[in-house]
Amino acid sequence: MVSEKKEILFHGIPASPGIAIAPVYLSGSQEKHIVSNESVLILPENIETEIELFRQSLEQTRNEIKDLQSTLRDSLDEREAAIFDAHLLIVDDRMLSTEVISLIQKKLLSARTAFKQTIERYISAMSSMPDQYLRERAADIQDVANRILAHLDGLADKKKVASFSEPVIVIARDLTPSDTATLDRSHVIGFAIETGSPTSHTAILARSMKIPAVVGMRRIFERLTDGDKVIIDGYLGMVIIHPNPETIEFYTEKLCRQERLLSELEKENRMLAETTDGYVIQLMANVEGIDGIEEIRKSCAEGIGLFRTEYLFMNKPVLPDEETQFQVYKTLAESMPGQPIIIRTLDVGGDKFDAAISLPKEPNPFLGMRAIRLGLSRPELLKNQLRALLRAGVYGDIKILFPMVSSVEELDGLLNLLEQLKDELRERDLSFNDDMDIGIMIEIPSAALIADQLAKKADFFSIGSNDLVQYTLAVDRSNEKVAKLYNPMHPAVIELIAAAAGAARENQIWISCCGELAGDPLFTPLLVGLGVQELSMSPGALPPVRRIIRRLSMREAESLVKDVRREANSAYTASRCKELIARIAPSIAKMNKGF
Amino acid sequence: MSSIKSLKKELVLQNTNGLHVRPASIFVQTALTFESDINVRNMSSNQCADGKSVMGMLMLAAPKGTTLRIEISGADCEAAMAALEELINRGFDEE
Repeated sequence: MVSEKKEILFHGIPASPGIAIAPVYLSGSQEKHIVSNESVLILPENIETEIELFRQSLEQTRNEIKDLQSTLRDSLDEREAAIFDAHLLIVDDRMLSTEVISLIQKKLLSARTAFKQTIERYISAMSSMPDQYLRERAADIQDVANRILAHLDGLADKKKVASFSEPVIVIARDLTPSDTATLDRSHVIGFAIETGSPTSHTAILARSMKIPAVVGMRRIFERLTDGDKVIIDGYLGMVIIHPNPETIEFYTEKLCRQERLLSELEKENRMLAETTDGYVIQLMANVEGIDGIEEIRKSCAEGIGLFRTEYLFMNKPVLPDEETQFQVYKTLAESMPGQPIIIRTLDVGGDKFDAAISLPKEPNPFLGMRAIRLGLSRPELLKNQLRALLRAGVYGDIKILFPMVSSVEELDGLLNLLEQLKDELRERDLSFNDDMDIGIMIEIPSAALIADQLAKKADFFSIGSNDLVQYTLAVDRSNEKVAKLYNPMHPAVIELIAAAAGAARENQIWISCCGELAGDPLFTPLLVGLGVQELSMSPGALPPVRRIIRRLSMREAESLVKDVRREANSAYTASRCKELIARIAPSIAKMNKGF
Repeated sequence: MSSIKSLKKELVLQNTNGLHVRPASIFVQTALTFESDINVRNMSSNQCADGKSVMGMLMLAAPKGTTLRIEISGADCEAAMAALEELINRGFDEE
């Protein structure tokens, strides 16, 4: 008697379009063991693997501490540097490793459990010492232990994920950037998470990987076990678990239609994104890391419209120094000769929490210490990055983009800093590009309102639509209670974009949009009509946008904008945009609705 | 037929904070430069540790004034004893 599992439908928020049908992999399910302190037992045949895992984690911790020590060498006194020597001795301690290995061999404990038990015994012994000074030294051991544990976790995760041999859909309560970094992405064909918003890291990642994602799926995790069959509908924001055969057939057909349209659209990749009346729009790609280059080539983007540098800094125990960053930017420039590459300086803070940069918790991080605010108040980080960018500018068409500029004074401060750094580079006799384009993000309403003044000092603007909408409407889209109010078609948002584009035109600088709106075909006519000259999006989003532009006339786009600004009503705007798309590109209108 | 050479010596910890992380690691770093086996006993608690393990040395929980018995056996035991004795008597160069 086989009890059939019943099909259940879950609704969430669509975060990346597409359909995927595959068994599920529950990410983060091992965390239960970690939290509960449960002993994990292994099979005798895995003893050697666990010992190897333990040795690797020691090796990685040793390298990590050495890196840290060499990075901090100049700023540490002898006494502080000696602490790292002590930490290295703890990593190499033969008594510790003998004990851990013997627990793995004799008690069949996992490397993690064996290490944890051993180290906890030491820590508790130290904590109960009568001498206070000695007692407090337990903190040093805890510090090293945490590093080793983190590496053991990283290795264990990789080990588990690497065993994907077939496509999987990853479902998690929440996926942090470090979780996704350890995923074997080649086999992941869809994401669904319980938390999050369409602008969260998972959603952005999914769109850049061209795979469907649904966020805000409440209480789905506990209903699943690894390997259950699920369907993700990224168009409608649904996840179906234990689908019955009819549902599977229905979605398989949809999948075929989707693939047919995509391959048809991709045939147009090499065609110019030119309106029917001869206006060319630059189509560019947003990239998260250096490994996205191949995809950019395939999509025929004309350059990189947004290179996010956060990922160079994430999951790193040590921040990349000037030289390391220089090599990354140089490689990037050399791999895209003659093509513009817009590199945004570090945008941490807000929701982009970073492990390597310890940021104090703030009551209101989105209105707090993020991006250039952090860069200007702790200039070392930003200085290293800017020096690396200036130097890499010799090898290609790199442009610098500053996020979160809200005033002319901030822009002045940044431009002064650049001049100061150029002087330093001259003194060090290093070659750099003295004539780089410097742009700013228009993502704070104040910047859009004083765009005319900013345009006199900047070489270009880039509209960050996600933040612009959130700051204009005072809506945090990841907060389910107010997410409905997040409306990019709000007349105020359109007016701010129009103001920035108008200022750019008058001052003869160019303006792009690199936010989510740029990759949504529904917004293409609106942005083009407003005067945005460049659209930058994840490479996967390019083909539909290219088709819209090729079927649109500037005359139509401008008259759409005129009507929309006159009516100043978001429902009207939405219906006009949909109507236009349905007329000029019906297959794309259909795709947006999920076929 | 040479038997393994060995030495024993009792020394008193001079430094203010006893055998905490820094002195313990200096001790171990020095010990590791010798081939001889080195054992250290806290004469107050009678606990014994491998002189080449920083964790072991820390577990001795030895504050200032503790008498340690150092037992070294091996070819270079004399040099090892001399070096470790100097370290302890100098108070690990702590102020």
